[in-house]
Amino acid sequence: MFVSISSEVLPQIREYERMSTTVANAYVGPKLTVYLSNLERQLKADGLKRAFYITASNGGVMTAETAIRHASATLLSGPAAGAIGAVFFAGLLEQKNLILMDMGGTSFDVTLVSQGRVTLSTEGEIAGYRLAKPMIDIHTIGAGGGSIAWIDGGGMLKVGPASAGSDPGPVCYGLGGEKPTVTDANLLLGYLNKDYFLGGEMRVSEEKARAEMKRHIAEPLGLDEVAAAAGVFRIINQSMADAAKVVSVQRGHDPREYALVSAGGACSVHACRIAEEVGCRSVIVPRAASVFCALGMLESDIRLDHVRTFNAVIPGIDLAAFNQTIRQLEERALAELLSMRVERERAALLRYLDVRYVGQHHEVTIPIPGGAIAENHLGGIAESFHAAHERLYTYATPESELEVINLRVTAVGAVDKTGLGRKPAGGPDAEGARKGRRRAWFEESGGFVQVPVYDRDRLSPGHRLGGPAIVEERITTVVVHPGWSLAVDEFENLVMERER
Amino acid sequence: MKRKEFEGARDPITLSVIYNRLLTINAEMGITMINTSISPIFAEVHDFSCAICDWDNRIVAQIDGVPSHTASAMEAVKAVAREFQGDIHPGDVFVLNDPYLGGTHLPDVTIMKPIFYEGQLQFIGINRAHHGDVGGLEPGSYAPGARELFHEGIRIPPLRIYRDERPIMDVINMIRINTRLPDALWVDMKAQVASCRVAEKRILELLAKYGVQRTRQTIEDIHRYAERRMRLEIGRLADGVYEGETCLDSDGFTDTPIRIRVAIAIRGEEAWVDFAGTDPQVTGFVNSPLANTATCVYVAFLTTVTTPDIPHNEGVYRPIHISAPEGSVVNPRFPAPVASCTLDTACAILEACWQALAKVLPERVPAGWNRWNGPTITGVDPRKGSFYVMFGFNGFGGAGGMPGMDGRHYIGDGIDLGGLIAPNIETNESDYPHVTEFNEFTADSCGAGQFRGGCGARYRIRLYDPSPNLVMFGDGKMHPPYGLFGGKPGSCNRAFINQGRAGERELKAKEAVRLKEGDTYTSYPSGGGGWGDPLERDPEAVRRDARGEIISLDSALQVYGVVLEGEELAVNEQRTAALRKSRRGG
Repeated sequence: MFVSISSEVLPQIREYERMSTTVANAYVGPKLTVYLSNLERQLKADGLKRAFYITASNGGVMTAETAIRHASATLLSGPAAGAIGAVFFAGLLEQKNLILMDMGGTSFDVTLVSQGRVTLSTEGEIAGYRLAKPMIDIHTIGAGGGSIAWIDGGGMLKVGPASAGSDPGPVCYGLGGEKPTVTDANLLLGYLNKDYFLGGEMRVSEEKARAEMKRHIAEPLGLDEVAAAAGVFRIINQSMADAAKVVSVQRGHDPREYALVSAGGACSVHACRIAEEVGCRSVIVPRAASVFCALGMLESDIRLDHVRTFNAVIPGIDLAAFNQTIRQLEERALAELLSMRVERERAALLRYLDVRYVGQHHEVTIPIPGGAIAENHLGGIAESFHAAHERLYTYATPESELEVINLRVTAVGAVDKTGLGRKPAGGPDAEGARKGRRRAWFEESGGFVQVPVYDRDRLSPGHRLGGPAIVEERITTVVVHPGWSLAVDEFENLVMERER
Repeated sequence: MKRKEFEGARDPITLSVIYNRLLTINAEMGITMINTSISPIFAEVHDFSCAICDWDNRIVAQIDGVPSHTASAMEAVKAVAREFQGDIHPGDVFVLNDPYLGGTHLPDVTIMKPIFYEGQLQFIGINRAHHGDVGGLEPGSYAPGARELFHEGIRIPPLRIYRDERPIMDVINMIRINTRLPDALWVDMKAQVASCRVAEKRILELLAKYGVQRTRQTIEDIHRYAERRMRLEIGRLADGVYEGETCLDSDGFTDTPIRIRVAIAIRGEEAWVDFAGTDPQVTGFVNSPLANTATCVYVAFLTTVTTPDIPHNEGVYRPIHISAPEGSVVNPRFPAPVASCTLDTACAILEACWQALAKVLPERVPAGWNRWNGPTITGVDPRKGSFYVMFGFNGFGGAGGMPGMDGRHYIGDGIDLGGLIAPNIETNESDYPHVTEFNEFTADSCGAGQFRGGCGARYRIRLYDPSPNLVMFGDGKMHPPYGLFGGKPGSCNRAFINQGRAGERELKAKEAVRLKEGDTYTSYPSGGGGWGDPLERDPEAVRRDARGEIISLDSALQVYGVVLEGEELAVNEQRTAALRKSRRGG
C-alpha cells in the first residue's frame, strides 16, 4: 500500500496546505509507482545502463525511485520543463534575465528567469487544490490561438477564456468552428499565411474567418472585419502582457532588464506587441523551442527540497538550536542525495529561510550562508530580507524584528553538461532567404502594407532585417512589427530588438 | 443581437483594454495589502476591499475583498470631496470611518489617496479595511451594550493624514490613542496606504499611455457599459412587485424580533426597491445606515440578476432606486449604534431581497446562507504579555443550495459570500492563546433539498489566558437560513460556554461575557437552506452525503426517502422508489 505521511511530505506549519499537498501526493503516488516501475523495468530490459531521471516541478530532476516517494513534487513538471529550457537558454546566451512566454491553443504560460535562475513558489494550486511544495513560479492564463472573441451583454469585446481548442478549432480550420478566434484574427490581419498553414499541409479558409468575424464582432460593434480583428489582436496582447507583468513588475523586477523568449507555435506573431506593452527591449525566438526544453532537461541538476518549521525571532534566536536543526535537515538531504549515487564532490547544499516581520502572515524566502550561523551573520541575513521586502512590496522597516518560520535545504547534485555548438556568422544580407511579399495590417502603417516574407530555414547567423516583415517556418510565424529589427545569432535564434 | 444595444462606446477596443487594466491594478492593490499587513483579519481572512474611483467620485473598478464594502466606498470619497473642496493636493491621503458620513461601521477604516496627473485630480485609490479595535465599550469594538455611536469607538470624519506623501503624525496619534491596538492600527493603515500607492503608480502609467481625454472618455463608456448590462438583465425580468421579508433575532437589549420588509418593483429596465413596513430603528447595534442597506441591495442584484463578470461600478447601480423610511432599522437616524449592521443586518437585508427576487428569478436565487455566529475574544496573551483581539473566523456556516448546485460547506455568512477566508488552526493558535479541540462538519446541519445547503461546523476552543473577554454579535439563533421551493431550512446558530462541563451555559446571539482561564467556547454555526424537494434529490448524491457523514442515515431515509444498505451504503433503488412514492402521497 502507498502511504503518504504529512510529516514526511511537508513538515511545516499550516495544516490546510500540508493536508492538501499530502492528499495530492497520495493520489498521484500509486499511479506514478506503477508507471515508473514499469518504465524502469522496460528501459533496463532494453539495455539502459544508467539511472534515468524524472523532471520535478522545482526545476530539477530526481531518480525514479525518489520521484515515487515525492510524488507531489512531480505535479506540473510538464510546464516546468519549458522553464528549465529557459534556464539553459539563459546560460547559453549569457542573457541572465528572461521572461519565457509559451502560447499554445488554449493557454499562455509565463515564467521569469532572473539572474539565470527561476523563482520558486510554494503557493501553487492545481485544479483549485493548494500545493505547498516548492515549484517553478509559472503564471498561466486562459489565452491562446483558440481563444474565442465574443461580445457580452453590454457590448464589451472580450477574448477568452473560452477556447475553441483544436476541435472544432478556429473558424478558418473549416472543422465546424463558428466563433471567431485569435487565430482567425491573425489570419485576417495577414500575419498568418493561408497558403502556408503547417507548411501548406492544412487548408484554411480566410473567407469563413472573415464572415464569422463580421457576423459576431464587426457588425455588432459597428466596425469593419479588419478593425474587429485588430481589436481582438490588441485585447489578447494586453491580457498576455498583463500576465507577464504579474511575474515581473508586480514582483519588483524591471522589465527593461529582461528579454522575452517567445516559445510555442502562436506566440511569435504577438511577441513584439507584448514586449512593447510590458516594456521589454528584445524578443528571442529560439531555433526550436522543443529542442531547448529537451536540452534543458538533460542539463538540469538533481534538486531535492527539504523544509522544516523553526519558529524564532531575530534578534534573540537560539543559534545552537537553529544550527542543530539545519544540520539535521542537511544531513538528511545529503544522505538522500548520495543514495541517488551522486558523488560527494558533486553534491551541494543550499539553505534558505522563510522570514517575515513579526506579526506579518506571509513570508519571503531568502538564501543564507552555509556553515554554522553565528551572531555576526544575522545582520547580513536581516539586510537581505529588508531588500527583498522592499523590492516586492515597495517598503522595508529595518527597525522591526524578524520572525523565522521555516528552514529550507535544497540538495543539488550536479550532472554532466553537454552544451551546444555555435555556427559562424556570415554577412547581414538576408535577401537570399526572401520567399516573397504579402499584405499585412499594422496600426503604424495606417492599414495594410506589403511586407517581405522570409523563409526561416534559409536564414543563417549574421542575417539582419528590419520590420515590418514576416518570417515563416513550418509551424511558426514570426511577425517583425514596425519599429523592430531582427538578427540571427550564432545558435540560429532570431533576436528581435526594438529600435531606438 | 440588435445593433442598438451597443450604442455609446466611442472606441470599443480601448474600452475593453482600459477596463481590464483597471481590474489588474485593483488586484495588485489587494496583493500588496495581503502581503504587508500584520493583522490576521487582513493577511489571512481578507476582510478588506480595494477600489478605484474617478474624478467624479464614482467607483470604476472594484474586485477584491468583501461584497459588503462595495458600493458605500463611493460615499466616503464624496464626503472627502465635500469637506476638502479646493484643498485636495498631490501627496495627500485621507481617512474616514464614520458610518453616517460614508463609512460602514467604525472598525472599517477607509483610506483614500487622490491621484493627480498633469496637475489635475484624475482618480482616487481606496482601501477599506476592518481593524481589530477602534475603541468603544468592548475590546474589538463590537459592543452589544452600546446605545449610541459614541459607545462604539472613535469617530473619524473625513480627515487628511498625509501631506506631501508624509504622514501627519499628530493627527494619526490622535486616532491611535483612541484604540486598544495603536501599533497594529498604524502598521495596517500604512499597508492600506501602500496599496493605494500601487494603484497610483499603475494609473499614472495608464494615463501616460492613453492621455487624459481618451482615458476619461473611456471611463464614461465603462460606466455606460455597466449600466447597459444591468438594464438588459432587469429588462428580462417580468414586470411586477415582488415582496420579501426576514427577521433579525434581536438587537441585544430585548428579545423582540426585528422585521425587515422589502418590495421590489420591476418596471421595464429599472427596479424600485422599497423598505416600507420595516421596523423602526432599535436601541442596540443592528441599525443599518442607508449606504450599508444600499450595498446589500446591490449585492442581492449582482449575485442573481447579473452574471459575475459585470463591472462593479457606479453605472451598474443607476437603474436601481432605493427608498427606506427614515428612522427605520435600515435607515436609522444618528447617533443610533451600528457595529453589527455589516454582518447581522446585512445578512437579513440580503435574505429579504433574495426572497423577493426568488419570485421572479427562481433559477438564480439561492436558499438562505448562514448568518454570523462568531465571537470576538480579547485578552492578554500570557506568552507575550500583549493585548490581543481575535475574531472568530473558524467554525464557519454553510451556503444555501441553488438549482444545479449544493451549498458549499464551511463558507461563512451570506453577505460575505465566501470572501472571508478561515485561517489555519495552527496559525490561529500561534497568534492567540487557545487550543482547538475540534473543528469539523456537523452532520444534518445542512438544510435538505434537491440541492441541499452546505454544512456548518462544530468548533471548540479552550482559552488559556487569565481573563478573556468574549463578545457575541451574531444572529440566526431563532431564524434559520430559509429553504426555497420545498427545500428545508438549515440549522440555527448556537454557541456555548463550557459545554459538557461545570459552568455550562448557552450564549445569547448578542452578549458580552467575562471568562476565566481554561473555559471553553463551542459554536455550532448554521448550515445553509435547501433548494427544492428533498425527495427529488439524486439518490447517489444522498449516498455520497451519508458516506461522508454530511447527513445521517436517519435523514437519508426519513427526509430524502433513500434506502441505503450494507457496509457500502448502496442505494436500494426499488425500495427507494417505493418509499419516495408513498412519501409524495401515492
